Amino acid sequence: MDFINNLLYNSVYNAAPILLCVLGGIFAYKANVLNIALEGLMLAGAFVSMLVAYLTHNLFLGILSAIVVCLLLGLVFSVMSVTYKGNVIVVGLAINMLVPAVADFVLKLMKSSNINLTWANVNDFKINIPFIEDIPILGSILSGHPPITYIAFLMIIVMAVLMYRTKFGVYVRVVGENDDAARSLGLKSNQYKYIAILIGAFCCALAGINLSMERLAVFTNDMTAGRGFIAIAAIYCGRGAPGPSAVYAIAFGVASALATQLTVSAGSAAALLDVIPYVIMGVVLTVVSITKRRKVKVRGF
Amino acid sequence: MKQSSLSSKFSGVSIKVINSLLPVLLAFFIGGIIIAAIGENPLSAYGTMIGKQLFTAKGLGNTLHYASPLILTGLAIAITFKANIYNMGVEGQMLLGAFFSGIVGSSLSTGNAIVDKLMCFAVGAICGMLFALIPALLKAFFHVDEMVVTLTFNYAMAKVLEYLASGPFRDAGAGYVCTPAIANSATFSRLGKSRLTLFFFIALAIFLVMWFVMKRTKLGYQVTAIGKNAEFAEATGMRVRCKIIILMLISGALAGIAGSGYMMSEQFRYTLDFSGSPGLGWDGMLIALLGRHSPVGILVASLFYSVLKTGADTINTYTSVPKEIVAVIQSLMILFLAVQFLNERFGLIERFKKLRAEKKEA
Amino acid sequence: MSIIRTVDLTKKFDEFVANDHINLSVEPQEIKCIVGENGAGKSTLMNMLYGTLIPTSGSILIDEQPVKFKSPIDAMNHGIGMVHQHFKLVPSLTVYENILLGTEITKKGLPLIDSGEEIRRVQGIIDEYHFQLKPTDRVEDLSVGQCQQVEILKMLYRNVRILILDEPSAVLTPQEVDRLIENLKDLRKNGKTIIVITHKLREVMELSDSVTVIRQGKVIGTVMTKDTNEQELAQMMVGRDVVLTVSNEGGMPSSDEVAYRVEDLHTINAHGAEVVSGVSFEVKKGEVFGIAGVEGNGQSELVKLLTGLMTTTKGRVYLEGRDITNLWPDQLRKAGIGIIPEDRYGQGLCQSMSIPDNCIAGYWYDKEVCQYGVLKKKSILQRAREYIQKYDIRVASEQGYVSELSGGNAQKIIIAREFESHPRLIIACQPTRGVDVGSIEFIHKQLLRFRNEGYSVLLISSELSEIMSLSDRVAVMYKGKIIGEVDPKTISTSEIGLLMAGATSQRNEVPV
Repeated sequence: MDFINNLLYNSVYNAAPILLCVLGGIFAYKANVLNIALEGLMLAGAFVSMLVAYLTHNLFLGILSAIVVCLLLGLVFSVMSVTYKGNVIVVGLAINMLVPAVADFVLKLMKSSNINLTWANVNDFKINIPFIEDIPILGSILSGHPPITYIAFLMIIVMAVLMYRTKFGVYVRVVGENDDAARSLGLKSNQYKYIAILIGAFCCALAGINLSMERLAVFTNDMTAGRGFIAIAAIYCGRGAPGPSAVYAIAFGVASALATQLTVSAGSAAALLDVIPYVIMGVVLTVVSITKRRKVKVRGF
Repeated sequence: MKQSSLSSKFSGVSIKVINSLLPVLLAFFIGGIIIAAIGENPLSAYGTMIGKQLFTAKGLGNTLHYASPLILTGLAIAITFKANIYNMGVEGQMLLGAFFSGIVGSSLSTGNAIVDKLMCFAVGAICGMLFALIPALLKAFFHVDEMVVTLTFNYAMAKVLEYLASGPFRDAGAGYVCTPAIANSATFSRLGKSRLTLFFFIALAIFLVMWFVMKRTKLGYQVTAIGKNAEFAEATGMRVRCKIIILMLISGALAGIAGSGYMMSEQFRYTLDFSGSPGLGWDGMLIALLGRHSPVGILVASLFYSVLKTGADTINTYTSVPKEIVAVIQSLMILFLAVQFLNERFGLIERFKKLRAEKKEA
Repeated sequence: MSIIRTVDLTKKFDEFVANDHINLSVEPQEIKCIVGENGAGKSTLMNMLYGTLIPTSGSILIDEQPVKFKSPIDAMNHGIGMVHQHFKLVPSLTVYENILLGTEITKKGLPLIDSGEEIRRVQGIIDEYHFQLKPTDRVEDLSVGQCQQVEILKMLYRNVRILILDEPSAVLTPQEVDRLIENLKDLRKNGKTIIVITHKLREVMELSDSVTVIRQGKVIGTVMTKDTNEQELAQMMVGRDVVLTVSNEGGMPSSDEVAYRVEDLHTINAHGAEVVSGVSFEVKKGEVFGIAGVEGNGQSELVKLLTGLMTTTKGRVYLEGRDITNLWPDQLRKAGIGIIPEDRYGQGLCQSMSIPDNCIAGYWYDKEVCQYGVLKKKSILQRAREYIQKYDIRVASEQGYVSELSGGNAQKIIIAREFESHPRLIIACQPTRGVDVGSIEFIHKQLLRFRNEGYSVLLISSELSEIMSLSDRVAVMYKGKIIGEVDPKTISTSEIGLLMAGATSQRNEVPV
């Protein structure tokens, strides 16, 4: 029973940051900008929130500056890739490399290998919902999580509404699918790409804060551990639709919870569960591509 | 047609060089600001960093040594870029090659120095090729975007290797996660005082072969054509599908050889930070961008890059600037290299393309 | 009073004059057809009327007021809407979302889209104009004809007075074309003015009130539809100013031996529609076999099939008895087929590679230029020199880029390359498009010399005069099929023009 309760709790716990990255990333995906910088942006969120909170002893300032920094990085990404038409992958990669490099640099200056908020107690962040917390199974899913975890799951609905029920959502999809159509009706397509990327940056900031500050009150430089790329796999599997992408994100969260949980019994082989998202992505991409190109008789690329 | 001759002449060597130098200078400039901000003199810091690596025999030897795998990973990425294929999986292919050549080098050693090394290289190359084959087949037969697949598969491979290194292949005697050290007969011994080994000359030889392939052979010709005009390539019978697979295999082999060479000349066993941070594959990416996909450019870029890498230690020892500054500069370089400054500024290529498009419409 | 009028409207691209002092006038509530062959400048004209292209000189008047369009938005604000040949729709969105794109209706006080109201309005406009669409269907599930209706509705919803349609029937089935004609006539009744660009004469006759014919960027004439007939229009369309100096008169008679045989060839496009449906023909030794037809009737796809760029769904191809169906381009060349492709800079040449490099493209199997996979730079350069000399190719530098050459000289590189490798059949597709008169003559002579040496030529061209003067036999393609075979020596230009427009003629048809 403990095993199941732990697993459920950890699944929610592990899914949250991936989910946030996915929900932020789908807009860029729909706008046809491949944002592989999710990992770097998330790390930036984790790092800046902790650094500022450490320096100022103010959690709120930490959160705020993390969001600002991530938005700035998102802006750099947009300027380089949308306005100056740089190779999106290379720009994303650069940000993925820049953030840990800067973090490393700062950690060295601080002569420390991590940032630790000794004065903060992570248990204070947890929201225990009265009554529900005592219900077996449901309690471990619904109760005892930090605020951003709840926000992450609420975001599924928010982002679905934003994507499907607002002008902005429609325009982002139009820009990504048929830029010509958007331009022919006078839509400023670059503007929507910018906003799509910035939404991603904002969500990644939250994911980062969730990872470092509100779960552990500790920052280490490898703490994102490829979650940004798992998020990319989830986005591609769900083809950018909020619902399916979120389902994949949660599923991958469960897989990683299972991986952690099984380490005790199965040893290091449990780490192989982390490979699942990528394999699934490869299969989904292939299947989609095959069905799309069924009728194509023209040779060539 | 006047426009085209103008732009083709203009976008000659000088533009390439400027497009490569500008991001480098910009990155160093920002790095300089950071160094100045922590109270050091950027110029003298850069001076010690670069001077020691180029103007002392030992430094130069080390530079060449660390450039060896970079030449290969740089080539691995550059040849696919040249055909407009994006093998972003060089890091993973390199790691896989390194891992299994390490296993073979430690467990299947024959004791013969030449046989062992050849065997390790072969295993490395084959592993790299096999791992590159997956995205290659998906791309060639199903048109699956190779960029996303190769990119994300790196992380899958890192996980797999982490498991293999900490589970089935772990060196039980070591206090940390690593595989057993390779046999002495499989290691390259140092030539002289520096870390330089024979591997550098092997890398150089492979570089020359690749240079010849790209410049003088049918394959090189076809790769260039595919990159420049894929429709033309297909229409004149270059079998683009086949070439994509061949190219990815070559790229994977180069990556794998880079890994096994680095294993045999530097690391001797697989550890979780075998490839450093950022890894050799990612470094290769920067080198390919910096060298603008041309062989000579890649050679120069990998030497330059090796100076940076080895210079990081010097800067750490001789100044109070943490060596991590180099990684910051490096990532800034990649960021700026993503954009072609000159074409954007003058808008030559853009304008030309627009004209062409208008003409087509008419 | 004209609702829209152009005065000396001119558009130049560098030296090339796409539209030369066009004077066009459209009356309110009429359906005006603008006809002309591909490349005549119809699309350029429409793009200027719609603000996609900015005129070099001349002016556009709407309700006799001069206007300047900087973008399609300006045009739309003046009540002009355009339905492009390639639809500007978003496949994953629904019909109503596409129609309302950019003018979404939101709920009062909320940033949310009121889809209920949107569907109601779109249903209203669909009913008003008697279209057959369901607002909530996804565009990706619609047929091409329905997509077009969505495009038209998109414009109608924006209250345009003048609707321009670019080749609206190009992608439609006959039934869909009938439906479209009905819809357009309905629109005219509702007070709209319609301009249709087309080269399908049957539709012109059924649909329009007046017709303007454009050729080589100039207006050839404007006639009232009721005062003209298809034959006259065809003549106006295909008449040529260039007098062709070469003809195949007096050459050797072709033999009866079959060199190349195509049997019941079929293929589909990416949408699954059959674009080549059952094409069969034979090319004899020492013969030029021409395939004529208005562009877009499957010739492009047929050429792609025959040159290894597309695969068949059915049918076989034989060269001198050997089955060469679905071989790759390099195998076809090796088998003895020279290919002069349709798109010179897309398929024939690589502009950003050197002349010598282009001279060997497709012929690496030749041991003189490439052995064991290694290129012999010296003999490649030597070969390029030979070609340049023998085919009188004007180059600034032997090793320069192809992009520095004029159209005619670039085409000559292809001609040299394909002829000098000694094929037994040449597939020549639009061999003289965009080429100067001198080069046209040169290329024609080469094709005939080749024929007179006893080899075969398959000539596909939309230049009717070229087909007529070079070919021994001509087949006409219409809607993916060969609808007739004629003897170019006895048939008149207007008769073949009619055949090209889809009217099957009984006379002059040679039994296959």
